[in-house]
Amino acid sequence: MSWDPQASLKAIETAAESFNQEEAERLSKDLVSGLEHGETIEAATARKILGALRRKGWFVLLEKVAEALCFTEQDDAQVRRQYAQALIDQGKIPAAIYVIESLITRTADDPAENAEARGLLGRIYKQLYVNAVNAGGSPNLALSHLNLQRAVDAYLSVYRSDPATHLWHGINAAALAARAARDGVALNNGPDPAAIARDILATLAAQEAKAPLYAWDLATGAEAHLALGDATNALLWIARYVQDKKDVDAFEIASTLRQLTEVWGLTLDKPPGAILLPLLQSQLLDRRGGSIVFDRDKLAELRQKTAEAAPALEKAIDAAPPPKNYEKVLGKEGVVTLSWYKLGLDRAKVVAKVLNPAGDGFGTGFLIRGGDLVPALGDEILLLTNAHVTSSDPAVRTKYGSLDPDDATIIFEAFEAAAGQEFKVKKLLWTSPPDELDASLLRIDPPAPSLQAYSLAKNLPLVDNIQKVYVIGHPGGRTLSISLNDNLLLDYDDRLVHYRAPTEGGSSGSPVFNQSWQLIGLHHAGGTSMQRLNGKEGTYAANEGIWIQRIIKALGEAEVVEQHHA
Amino acid sequence: MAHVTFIHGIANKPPQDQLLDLWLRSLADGGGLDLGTEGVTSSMVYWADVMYKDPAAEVETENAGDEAVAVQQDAAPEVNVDLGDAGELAWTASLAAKLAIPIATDTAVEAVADLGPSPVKETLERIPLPWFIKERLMKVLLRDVHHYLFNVKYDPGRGTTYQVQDEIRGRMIKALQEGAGKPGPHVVVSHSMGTVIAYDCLKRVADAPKVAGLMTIGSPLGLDEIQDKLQPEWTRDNGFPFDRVSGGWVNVYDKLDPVAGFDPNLANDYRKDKKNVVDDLNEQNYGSWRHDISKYLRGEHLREKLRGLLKL
Repeated sequence: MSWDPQASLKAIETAAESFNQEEAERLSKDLVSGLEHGETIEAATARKILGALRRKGWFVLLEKVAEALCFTEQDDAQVRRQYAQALIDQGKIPAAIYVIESLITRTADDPAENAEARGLLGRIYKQLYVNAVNAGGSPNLALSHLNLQRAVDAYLSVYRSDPATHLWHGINAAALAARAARDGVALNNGPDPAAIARDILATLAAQEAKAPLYAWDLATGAEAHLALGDATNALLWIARYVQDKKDVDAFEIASTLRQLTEVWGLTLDKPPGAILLPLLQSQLLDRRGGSIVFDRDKLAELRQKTAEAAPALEKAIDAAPPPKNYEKVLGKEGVVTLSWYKLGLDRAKVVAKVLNPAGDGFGTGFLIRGGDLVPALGDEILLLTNAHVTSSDPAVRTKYGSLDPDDATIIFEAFEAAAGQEFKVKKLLWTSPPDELDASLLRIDPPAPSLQAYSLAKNLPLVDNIQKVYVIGHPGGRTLSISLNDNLLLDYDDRLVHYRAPTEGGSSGSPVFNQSWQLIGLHHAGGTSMQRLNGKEGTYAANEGIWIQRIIKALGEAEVVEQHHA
Repeated sequence: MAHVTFIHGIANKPPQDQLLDLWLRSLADGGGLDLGTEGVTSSMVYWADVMYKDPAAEVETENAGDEAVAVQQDAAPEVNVDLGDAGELAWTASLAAKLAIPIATDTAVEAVADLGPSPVKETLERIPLPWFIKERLMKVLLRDVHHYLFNVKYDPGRGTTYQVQDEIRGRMIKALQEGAGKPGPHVVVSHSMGTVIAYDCLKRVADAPKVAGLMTIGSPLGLDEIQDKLQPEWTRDNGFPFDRVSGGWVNVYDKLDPVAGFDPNLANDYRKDKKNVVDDLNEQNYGSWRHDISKYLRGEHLREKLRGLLKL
């Protein structure tokens, strides 16, 4: 293969875009091999490749490529920083510290890069502190406190070298000093968080008088207001921050969420976390690649807080003095996204976990009003899942390892009305084998509680590289969590729907919704080598669902009503 | 799969794909009608380039398609009307009077003066939009309507000369034919001057295909001067384009929209066998410029009616 770093960059970006980790691994391996055999790559291209790997969270690959660049002396300060980042995100903290300390020495004559490197050192010590303390248990307090001190020192020294420039360092110093005060940790020469916050806000005001602020400055401003105990203004600044859909992507929002929960200790149960966290989560899910996994025990609370957050935000916006040029910001987009998010959380209620006789999660299913599938079934609530999860057909069970319906147990982790109950299959009303519609429609016992109706889509969305679908299910191995992933719609035919998938396996039988939370399908398969649809050649990484209207058609043809009454 | 053919209104616009995106986003905003999610395809009949040399700059605001924004970016347009013909002069003067604008010829100003005080001035003064912007907008409307209805030969400044009506009709008919090839209901959604073009094509162009529904928004079709120029095909008793609109015609207006405001109701002017069948809908907008399409498309009632036309 010829050496073409630009082509490699493009291929890695494409692989990242399509969540094709297998392809990214192959490309990274080729790159490393080429570098080791004396090939060269421009620093700018190298940085972009590392950036693409980092944004997908492929830290092992990031480490390997960055390491090869360093060993072949094709690195610059930014490459070294990326290398350190890869080490940090894999928990290889001591190695990361060595890399950063050497970088600090190497960049002594480059103030901008030196400040970045010292900031990264601060980040490492910050992470060490919050990981140890937030995990509970009995952390080594002396070491934790030392790490906190080191983090504050690192951030503060950069900030004080040029307070008007290094706002990010300043706000981190303030956040950690505030955290130290809350945790009862005495810092040596610790700064006054409020004083730093006031200075930062004054700097931002002066900057804004000249030009619009960058998105990250808005996040910094929000933290400054938190440091001053001004929850309302923190909320308004975050509301402004999330308006920026270009610079503030899912990666940025996830970082902000981490900062607010891990460092500022915001929680759902009290303000300002009660509003800020649902607001940021709703924005995260609204963005491409956004994904939320939440604890089942917190779902009811999250739903309630999300419902309360929308009017609270609206009230705060209405009460705010209108700053200049903010008409759009105050367009209440955040309120709308919160309401939309609440609807998605409501949909999670219908999702069931199907357990095998050993009590392990075996698949997912969801409640659906029978009349929405076959009108004569009326208001009876039934459960729809995959045939490869449970089937009455012995041949299917043998071939696919499906559960016998009599052996399946069904529980609802997010549905308060069914809390603590175990349901069994009373009757399998209809099934279609995995190579057809991979569906089984079940009557459960005791009867499912009534639920808030949701609508079924009459049409599939356009394949326009914009439309997303949402899968709510129990990804394998995380039995206590519900994952809500967004996926780009890739293609469909009259039976199957393909969507790009950051999901893990194990969500078989999950409902698939469109952007308006209408049901469009039954999730049943996924992989990196799915055959393309509509006669297109080749394979791609995709998840696959069954189009709900195709299931409805089959149910009509199968005369399920007669069976139902039999 | 249903299809919507959009056609825009007066003033300069961002490039075609950006304009379509803005309309779609406005319609979907705030949990509204997301055509993509509903599987509805769409296209935009773009004709701003017939009247303007370059597209308007993309403005990253929710009202980027707003004529008030576009007009503020431009120099005041000339009402460049060839007034050689006495009938044309009278027509222009009469329409200018209704739109409450002076036009830039002495003769025309005299003609306007002869008509006395503007009959709509009082209404317009209730709208807190700076008068100079309003005046520019009305001038743009006057010019566009005139150039279209009189099929004026016009060079927007790129060295290409268009017969305005022929050119725009051609684009509209092409878009209608493409929409007719789709399997689901095909609905035309038009705004402002675009309503005049849509109506003209659906009522007066023989080879225009049939559509399932028509929506006019902020339309000046209620003005007598425009109706006069749509004759002989238009008559008050049979003005509905029933040959090519098989379903409903929904007309959406805001009473304070200066383009539609003079005579916003169309049911009495576009009847079908002497019966009022156009569904006139008053959608309350907000802010200083009520003619803005992005505001109309955020309207709850408009969205509901469009859902109905598309059979969603």
